Amino acid sequence: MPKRHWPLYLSLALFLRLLLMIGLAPSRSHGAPSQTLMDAPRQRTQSPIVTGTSVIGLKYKDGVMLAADTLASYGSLARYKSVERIRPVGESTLLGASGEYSDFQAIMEMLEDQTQEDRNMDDGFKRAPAEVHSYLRAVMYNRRNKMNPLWNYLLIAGVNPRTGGFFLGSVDHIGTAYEDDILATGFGAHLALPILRRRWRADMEEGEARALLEDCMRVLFYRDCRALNRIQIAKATREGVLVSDPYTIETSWSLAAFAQPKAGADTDGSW
Amino acid sequence: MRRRRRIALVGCCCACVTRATLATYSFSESLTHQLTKLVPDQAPLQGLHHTAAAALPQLSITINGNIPSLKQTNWKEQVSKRADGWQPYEDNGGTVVAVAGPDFVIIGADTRLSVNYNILSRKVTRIHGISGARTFIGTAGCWSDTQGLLKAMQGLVGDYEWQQQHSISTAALARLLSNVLYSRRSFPFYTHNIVAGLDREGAGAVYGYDPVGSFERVKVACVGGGRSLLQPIMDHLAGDQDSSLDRRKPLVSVSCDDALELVKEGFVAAAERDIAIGDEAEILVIDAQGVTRHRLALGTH
Repeated sequence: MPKRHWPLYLSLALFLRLLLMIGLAPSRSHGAPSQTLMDAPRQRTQSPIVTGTSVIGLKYKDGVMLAADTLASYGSLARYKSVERIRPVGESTLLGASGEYSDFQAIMEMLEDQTQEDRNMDDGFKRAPAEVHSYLRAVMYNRRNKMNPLWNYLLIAGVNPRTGGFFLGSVDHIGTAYEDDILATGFGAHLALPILRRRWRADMEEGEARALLEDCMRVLFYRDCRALNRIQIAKATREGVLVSDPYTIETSWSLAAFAQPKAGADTDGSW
Repeated sequence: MRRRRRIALVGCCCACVTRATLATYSFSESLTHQLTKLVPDQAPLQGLHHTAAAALPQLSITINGNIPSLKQTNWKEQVSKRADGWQPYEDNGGTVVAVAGPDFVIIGADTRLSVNYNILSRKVTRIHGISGARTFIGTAGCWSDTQGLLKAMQGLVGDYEWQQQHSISTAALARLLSNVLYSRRSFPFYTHNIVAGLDREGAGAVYGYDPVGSFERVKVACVGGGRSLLQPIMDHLAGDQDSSLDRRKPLVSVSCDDALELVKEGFVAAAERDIAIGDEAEILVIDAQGVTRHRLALGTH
């Protein structure tokens, strides 16, 4: 190749360089497509999609009990009819969640990681339910501070493995945390809490406590449009935690209130 | 010779064309780069350019402690455009009252936690002791912010007492709370606070706050939902005088028992007329002998 053809070689070299640049250049929209071409995926979610309804809980003579149905709704569609909305955390704590089901699954993952770390430490430490409650308060509050809440109303129940004390507490999606002897989330706060407040006693036997919770779940099924009559009951005692298999509660639609509804009559008081 | 010249001419043309193309390409690249830097608001959120991210308010806290920082939040950008969109706040009710006397201080609050027409709990405590000392912060308003604020305060006071090797004075705690509240000026703690304790000379000191940290030492302070009901009653204790001596060391001149009676009557009156006040009033009397807790039953309706 003759040296006197150096302009040609130069131009060819530059042309090749141009081709390489174009071929390997990073795409102009590095990172994200422009907003005008398509909607960027939502990074901060402020409304729930797949939701669970109420969870209710009470302390009784031997421990703490929670109840919830097994429905995850997609708006008004009763989509997933066999989900677990009450799950054990470690050996002494139960967590029940209403609200966005995927956020509950994310929280369970966090707690399972924490439980595994406790196991790995292998130092005999037993995590108390009040500590789980405190941790979840911090998680929920910090997410709300980033304007990206975990949309759940949580009930934490359990028995302190070191002192034997009973614990029942609640944390909501903005980090409001408190404890009480009887608690309920969502519709349960309107329909079940009044029943619980009237009939609860500190020395209830397990059977009594369970019957009271079932009555509340029945009322919720009658009157909450997003409830199901298939429920789970869970209990935490000094012996450990137990979540029952789901079962169907009996309902009676021949009650006068349903068979002869008062709506429409002049003096029924409804509108 | 002619052929050689022709080749040379073609070669130069090619070189010029490619150089021109390259120059245009890299110029437009740098132009885009420039544009992204100049208009950060239009940059897509996901691929937020480094410089644009730096343009957002840097609101991290540089003192020790766990005050929730705002590094990743642009409050204005995230507020829902709908008036009924999600808000991160909730008013959980509560009323706190405090009175400063020559050798005592009284602080009281109700124990009902509510949201709209629901009662969440009948027995929360709104008066919180800070570290081991006899200074208390009473807080009304959003309960989640109350807890976040108190966690931050406990961390900071713990640091202070470890470094200084003595318990924090009421005046120093009052200033600290004001600074913590103001550090969240762009995303406030929705809390109405009162600090109550004894000052260095053993006299009562009461400080009243607004949600962003404006504070003042006063004779009597009321905050929260029942403020408009209780303040006029408590003003009887404050009296009419307000001499310059008063402003530096505001103290009521009634006895501790009289002040306590009026606080109790005030809560009973407020519970009658405000649905968010009720269940129980928890009242603390702090003096040189220590702290005495009184509990006053209010209606559960």
